[in-house]
Amino acid sequence: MSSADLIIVGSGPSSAQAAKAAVGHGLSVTMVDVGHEDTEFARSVPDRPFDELRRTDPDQRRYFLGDSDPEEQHGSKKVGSQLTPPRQFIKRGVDQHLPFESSTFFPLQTLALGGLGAGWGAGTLTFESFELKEAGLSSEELEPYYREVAEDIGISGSTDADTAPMVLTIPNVQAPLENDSNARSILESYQRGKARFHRKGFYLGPSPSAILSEPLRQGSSVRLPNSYHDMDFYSDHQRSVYRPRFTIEELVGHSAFTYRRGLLALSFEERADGVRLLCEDVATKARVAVEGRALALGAGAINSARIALRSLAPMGTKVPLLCNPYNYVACVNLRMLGRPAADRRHSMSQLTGVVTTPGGGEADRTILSFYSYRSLLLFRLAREMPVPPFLGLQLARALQTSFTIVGTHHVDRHGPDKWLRLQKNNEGREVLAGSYRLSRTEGMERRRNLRRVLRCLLALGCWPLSVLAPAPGSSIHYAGTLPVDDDPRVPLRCARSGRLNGTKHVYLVDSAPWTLLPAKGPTFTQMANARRVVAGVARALRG
Amino acid sequence: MGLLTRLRPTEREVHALASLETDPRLYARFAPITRGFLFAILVITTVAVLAVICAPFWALRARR
Repeated sequence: MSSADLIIVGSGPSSAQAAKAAVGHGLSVTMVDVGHEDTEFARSVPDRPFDELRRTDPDQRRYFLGDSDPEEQHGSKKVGSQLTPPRQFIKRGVDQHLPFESSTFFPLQTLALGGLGAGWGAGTLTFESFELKEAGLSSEELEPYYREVAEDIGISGSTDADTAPMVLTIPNVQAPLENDSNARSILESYQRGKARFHRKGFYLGPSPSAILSEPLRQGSSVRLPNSYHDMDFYSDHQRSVYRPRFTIEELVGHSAFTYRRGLLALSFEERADGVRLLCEDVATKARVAVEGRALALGAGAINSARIALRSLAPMGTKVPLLCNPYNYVACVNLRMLGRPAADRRHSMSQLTGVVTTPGGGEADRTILSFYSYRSLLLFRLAREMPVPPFLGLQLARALQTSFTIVGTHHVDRHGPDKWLRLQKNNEGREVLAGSYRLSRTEGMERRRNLRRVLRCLLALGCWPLSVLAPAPGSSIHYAGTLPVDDDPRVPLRCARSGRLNGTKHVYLVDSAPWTLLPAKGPTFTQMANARRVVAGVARALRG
Repeated sequence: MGLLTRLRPTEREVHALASLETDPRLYARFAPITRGFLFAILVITTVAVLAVICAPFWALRARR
């Protein structure tokens, strides 16, 4: 059995960046991953604009609706049911291999190549120094790694926007993406009343994204700028939107990198000279051991905790949990009502808003992501309307060019009713169980912030039609399950270096160590932190 | 809220609508209405009035 310098679990954004950094530091890497891929849709979604496909493609039903049962396709309220058919592979095998039970928390887990990054909205917001500090990270340490990741994956955004000091604190990014008609109209409204908005503590600017506005060489291939076809929820044409699998594909040609697909990491054992990772071959159910000098867990905060609990703690031991509370507000932008919108657009977040909290902690910001509603089809709108479908359709047609979805993320801190633990279910099967309940104070704070968001939207000319509170877990931002603790004796905690307490060779490269989850999307910071941790691992292995 | 939920289309009706929407020959029936602000308001108002008129009958149909 060969032994790598570093075993990396998972292939998501953190693991991919950890692997790239490790290979760059001269380490040999074995990546262990189940690695499900889309085998159906990648070639069948044409690289043409959404509207053209809608008008001309007789086969569009297949990728817009999928082949599955209509109840399953449109009726499920489970987290992840919003994934379009070409992204449904992200959930494949999860119920079988990553069993989870809870009546209060409904996370989206994955066994896909690229992890949750396979369906990532590509937001790349940097954390500010006070957020990093409260999360157990250091801005001085992280800054160079933010830049490395940005150069590697390609980030577009505006460093001149009012929001830049809060959400994009790195220089030399690609030019911002073009905004669509709806977003331009909202931004104009903000610019006209900027002083008033700033007095309210509201700031708005283009969304920083891992979406290219200029070509970028990645390995031996060139990724192209976004074609504004509005098909980003359905395909990765041009490779404009970064996906972690691009990094894995680049590394697979490197002699120091081995990708072991089809293995589910179960637990680890420490040995004098390294670590032994026990896995299950998902095809044959056989147990497989992978050995290395060090282990980096990058399976995501939830599943890194599952592996750590199975390896280090008795059944029933609880670990804490962080997850951003999430709402989305369906609005009508009155300035666009009844007006035509240009077809040229990308599908991801067009604008990012920041709402600061008067009297709250510095990190208590609410982050808004503005999406224009277009490529998700009208039937999804009509289904939410309490009218017959024919009338709902006419209403959706009238609202379509002005319809705006504002995703609203709130900060999260640890609490007594937010936890995970391994337990046996009624069938005697080991499952990860969880609970997620906001305290009364948190709930009140969240409602107060939401009211402030609604007032800001009204002032922008965006009339809220409804506020939806999806189930806890639907933000798909998870962290804090094995948090940093400066006392190395506390089990199931980790050091600032990312090393898991009670171990010599096991490190966490995802968001499991964080002690705060700011309202900003965590992926960019996870990737930068993964590189930071791996730099430390390389130093430790060199001796 | 219970009444509003009951008035929503069933999954079967939604699926039928989705199937029609992905038929390119019917594209025009699903295209955005972009004849100006006032026309959009007129459509919304008309839908609202019709929805109120239809609501009792719509709520009575066999469902779920």
